[in-house]
Amino acid sequence: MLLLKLLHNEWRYLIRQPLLWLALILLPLAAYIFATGITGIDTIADKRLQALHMTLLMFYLPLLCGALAPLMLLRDQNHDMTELIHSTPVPLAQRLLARAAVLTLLFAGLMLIGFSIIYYLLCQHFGFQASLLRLNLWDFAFMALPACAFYAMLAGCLTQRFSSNVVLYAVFAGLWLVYLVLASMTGAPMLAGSTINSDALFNVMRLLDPFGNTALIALYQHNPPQLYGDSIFYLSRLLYCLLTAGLFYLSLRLKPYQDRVKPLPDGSSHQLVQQQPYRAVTAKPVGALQLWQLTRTALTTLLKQRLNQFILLGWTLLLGNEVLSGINYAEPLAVLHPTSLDALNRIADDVLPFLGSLLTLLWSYQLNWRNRHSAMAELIAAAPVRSGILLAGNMLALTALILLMMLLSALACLAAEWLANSEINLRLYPEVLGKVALPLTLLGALFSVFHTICRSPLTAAACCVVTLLLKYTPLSGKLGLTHTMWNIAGSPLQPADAYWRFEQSQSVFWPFMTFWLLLSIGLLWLAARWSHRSGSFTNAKRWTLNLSSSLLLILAVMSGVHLHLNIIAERPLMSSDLREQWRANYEQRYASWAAVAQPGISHIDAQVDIYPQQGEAVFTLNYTLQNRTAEPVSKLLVGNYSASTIAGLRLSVPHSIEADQQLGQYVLTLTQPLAPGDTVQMHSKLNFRQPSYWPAVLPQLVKPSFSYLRGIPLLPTLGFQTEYQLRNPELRQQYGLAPLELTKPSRLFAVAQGIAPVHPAATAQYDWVNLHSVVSTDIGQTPLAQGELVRQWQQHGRQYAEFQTRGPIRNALAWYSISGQTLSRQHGATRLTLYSPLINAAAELNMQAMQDTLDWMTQHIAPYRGTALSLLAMPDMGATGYALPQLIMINHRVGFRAEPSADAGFDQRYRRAVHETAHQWFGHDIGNGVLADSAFLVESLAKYVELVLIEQRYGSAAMQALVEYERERFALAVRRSTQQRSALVDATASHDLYSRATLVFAILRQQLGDAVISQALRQLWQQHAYPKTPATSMDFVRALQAQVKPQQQQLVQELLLGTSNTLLIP
Amino acid sequence: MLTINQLSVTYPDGTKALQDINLQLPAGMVGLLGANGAGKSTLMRTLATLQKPDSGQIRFADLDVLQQPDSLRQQLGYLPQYFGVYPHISCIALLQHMAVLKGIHNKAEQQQQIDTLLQLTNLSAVAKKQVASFSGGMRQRFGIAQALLGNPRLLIMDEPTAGLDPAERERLHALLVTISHDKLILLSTHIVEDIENLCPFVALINQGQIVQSGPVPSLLTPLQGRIWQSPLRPDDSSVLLSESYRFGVPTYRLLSQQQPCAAAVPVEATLQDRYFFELTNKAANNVAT
Repeated sequence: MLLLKLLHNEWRYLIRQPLLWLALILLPLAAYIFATGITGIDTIADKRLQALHMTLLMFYLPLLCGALAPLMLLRDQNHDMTELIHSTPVPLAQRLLARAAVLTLLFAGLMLIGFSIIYYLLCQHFGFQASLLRLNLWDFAFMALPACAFYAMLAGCLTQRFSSNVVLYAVFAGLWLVYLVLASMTGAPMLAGSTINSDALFNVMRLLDPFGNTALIALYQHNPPQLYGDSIFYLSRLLYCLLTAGLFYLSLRLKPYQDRVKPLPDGSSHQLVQQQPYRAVTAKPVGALQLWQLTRTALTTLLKQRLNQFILLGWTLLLGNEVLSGINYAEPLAVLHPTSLDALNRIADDVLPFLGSLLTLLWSYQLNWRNRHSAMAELIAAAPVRSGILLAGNMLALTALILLMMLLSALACLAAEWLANSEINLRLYPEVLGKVALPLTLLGALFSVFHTICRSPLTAAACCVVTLLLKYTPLSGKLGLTHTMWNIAGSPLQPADAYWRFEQSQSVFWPFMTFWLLLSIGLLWLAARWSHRSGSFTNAKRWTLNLSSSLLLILAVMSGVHLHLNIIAERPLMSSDLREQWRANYEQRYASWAAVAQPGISHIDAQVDIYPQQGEAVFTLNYTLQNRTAEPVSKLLVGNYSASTIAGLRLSVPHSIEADQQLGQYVLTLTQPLAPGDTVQMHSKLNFRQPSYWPAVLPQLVKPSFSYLRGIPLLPTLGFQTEYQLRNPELRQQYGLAPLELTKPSRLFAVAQGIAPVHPAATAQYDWVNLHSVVSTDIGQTPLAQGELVRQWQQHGRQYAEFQTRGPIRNALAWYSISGQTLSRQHGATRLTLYSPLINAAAELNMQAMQDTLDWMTQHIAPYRGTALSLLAMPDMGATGYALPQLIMINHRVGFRAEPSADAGFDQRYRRAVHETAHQWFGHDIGNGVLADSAFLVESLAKYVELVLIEQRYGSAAMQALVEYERERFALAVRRSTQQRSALVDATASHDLYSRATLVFAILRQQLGDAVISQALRQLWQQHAYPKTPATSMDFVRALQAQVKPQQQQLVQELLLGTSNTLLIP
Repeated sequence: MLTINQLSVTYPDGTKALQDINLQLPAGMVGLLGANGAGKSTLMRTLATLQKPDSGQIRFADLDVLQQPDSLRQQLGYLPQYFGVYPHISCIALLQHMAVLKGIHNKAEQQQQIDTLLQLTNLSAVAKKQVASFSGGMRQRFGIAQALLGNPRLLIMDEPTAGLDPAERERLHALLVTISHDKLILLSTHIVEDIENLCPFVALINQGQIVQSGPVPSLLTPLQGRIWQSPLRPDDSSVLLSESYRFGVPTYRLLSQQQPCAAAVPVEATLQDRYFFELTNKAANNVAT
């Protein structure tokens, strides 16, 4: 009875707290944001529901507990009511139980609201399903409730020992972070890039996961996924219930932590002694000395705090461990000989900025509110110190702390380098860490502005947290704030790479930093004027602007506008929204052209002048257009999808031009229609300028060390381009476009002659062209294009080279300017050339892989069509490998610097080079020309070649190691996937196209043999190689079925057209 | 020395903390006397430039305080009613910190004044101890020491003797009286005796309004000859000003034109009588009549 009254009492207290109401707004908002990320209409609703519940729990419960627990459990200490409350006749056990129970109910209530919002939104998407409601309630009862009780009781236990809010904040922030790290190491489907690093850890987490997530994820690989847990899950829940009870028991026995500062006895002498007389001293405030004093005191006060000492020590150990644990990581089963850049890259791009931001927030809060918290605010505010000096003192102390953080990071990094026998380059440290420290300092300046202007610490902290949410979470994207400048106090600087250091994005750093610096100065200046003098005091100048503040703010705004204008000038379609809008507009205006007969491109004559130092490339293009249709062509639709505008467009016959500047499209009306079979010349110019306010990105970039200009989607195209269409059904609906009939390839191409393009005009034809290129670049660089090198020369201080393809190639063209060393070898009729900053053993291995692939493919499938094949090392920009006709690019880091790790059963470098070389057949010979087909013919068959060639060169054990590697990747991806499974020939997910394909072909090789598969592939070439009708995935299935015995038909059917994984994952 | 004109302060919840305050305070020690919640601290904080008034003017000597708060702070010594201290810092270090903020940069002068103040406030023995470890009285003495740093011409002290034992209280009184000649020391307290002992000038504040101000004798003159002390509670027209006890026996102080009862004896009017008199509206009416 007493407990019920206590619960009621606690509740009456709680509902009066603004923080509770804030939580009631924020948590449903978070649930909404998570749930609105629903994509794909064939998503598995119940699995998605549970994954969203897991996400909400792991992301928000620890933070919620850290924020709300002090409100309930430390309120006596925070408001000097301890003695009053403790002297009441309520026993400690009942008081603690009541508070922990109310806290549990509060967390549970908030989670139930969050779960219900997710459930409601999924029902909106998938329709009402009773099974979803049952799962919603089950998740709440078994996942959320035990976790809520455990977290509440843990907080209760902590508050019995420690009376500081900061301890609770730190513990729960730490738990939040540690859980995220563990989740990323145990393959949590909610975290991008997470993998199972250790089976032992995964199994331990099945039992010890406070939310039960891991135990449920372990069951996701079943088909259909088992969502209601197994015995380990229920054991885990029972364990946490027992832990909660244990914590309660422990709480009753804990003694509060005693501060080491013991009250001094007042030993003052009351003897009347001769005293010195009071003598006044002339005082004249000097700003600089006050600033120095304030900064020094602030710094020493903060550094003497146990919490900060603990944080800094933990920081050093954490970063040292982070660097050491992955300093030589290149990719799974591959390691690097590490350098300082590898060590710094382990932390400089994510751990350091993110955790550094959290520390900056903590320190800015401590600095700016310490006068109020220590009740010194009135003494300080009444002193003759200008508000600006008070603020500057805090800012300088914060900057010093950030520099200390960087110093400790550097020491941790150096220690890790030393332990890992890394190639140490001290000069890199200030360069890399400086690029982290400056944005952090500017972020700290903005935090200080909030703390100085807002008279309530809660409001100021809320502003800071919103800033961090906008900066680091998808919240800004969900709110439609996709502009680069929403990365507050940041820049789109990319990590440095051994290939070209910061060259990819060096140019973006200072323009962005200049803007944020000016804005910070302006706001700090204003904050000094509007300051509450560190004690929430009123200020007569608040909300008024003087001349200097106005000028500084105007300067900052002008700088921001200048930056914004440059950003959009360089990339008008900078956000996904704008790009979607462009595509929708394109389809709405030009879809009718799909039915209009258009000529094809038969020959391209390209003069490409690349200026790597200036970041510019000039194209002069001459197309030969041929009317391959049966009707005369009177109008041409010419356009591209790029910020580079087509210029000087003209035909060799009389015509008129109508330009659509908004979409970059041109309608050319011929005076005399082009008769079937006739040709016409089209001339155009393009000027590509490398953006300096954006990082260089694929597929077009011109930089001093590496220039790459892919023709798609830069070069002018003819007719309506189906690939520009929006494919997402919801987006199509949103933009008012009719639904697309996206039939799966297994149905669409079920019959050999049944090729029915998605769009009437998208005829299933090969789009191949003859290419003649003259490429020029700076002296010292190598110009490169597809085709055979005809000649090279120097002229007007520039390097020239002429290339000519022997016959038509797939219209996926590219031009390069590169530097570095060259390895060239004549292999049969093909000239193999490899370009890399350094020709080392890895380069030789890549060359070997190209040769092996050429030999095997020529011998077993079809000869290579070209006379030249080049492989280039490319900087680390995301992609690890990419193939174009007669050109291959492989990431320098994984392809040329890495080597197999001690536990690797196969060599990733060789595998990758084989895969990319195989695309010369699978992708650029067959596997193109049918837009509606999947990527099976391209990617999955390249995986088949990997298996064959690794076995041929390294033996069956190596091949089996590759199979096991892909099996592990596939099992993990299946657990994470929320998509309905489809047949391999219909699949679009990468884990199907690559990993599943490897497993499928391993079984097919074992059961059918390579001879059968090769025979099927040869048949495919005989029937579908250019210039015949392009092949589809189903053509391969039929070719294979034609080769196998009747009893093997079922196996082929099940592996290529079935959806079960039972043969793939044991 | 300090002139306050039509000063009003209203809190966001609508409470009128100060209403149309008008005061002229001379140099020397001035007592501000009022009940809890009368507005003393609000007036002190406003004078110390920590609070913005809704309206009014404050001039200290030739200085417009509201327009030039920084200039006033250069002449201000302030001891708030409640204050804390930084952790992990010694008494002497914190005094040095405050000295620098107040503009005492000459090391020798700074050291000499801090030593003197430590001795005057009886903190020399604990000068190197952490202030956070000080008892309430010691901390209060630290507050007094920091307020006296530099050369404050306006000293605002809100309840300065709170927490001090009688000996320390006497010591503080002596110090304040000694230094008050060329300064304005505004002493806020509800301990009437302190003000009576120290201040030649007093202002009485009630419900945010100054009800009386002036030299202490001039405030007592209207009551002289009308104050009676009696062991019995009066019954008729006399006004009960206060009821106190001595050894458990009640003593009543009464305001009356004539002897209220046989046991009543005439006594000299004190500031406390005037204070209680002002707290009673009824008494105010009686005075008016």
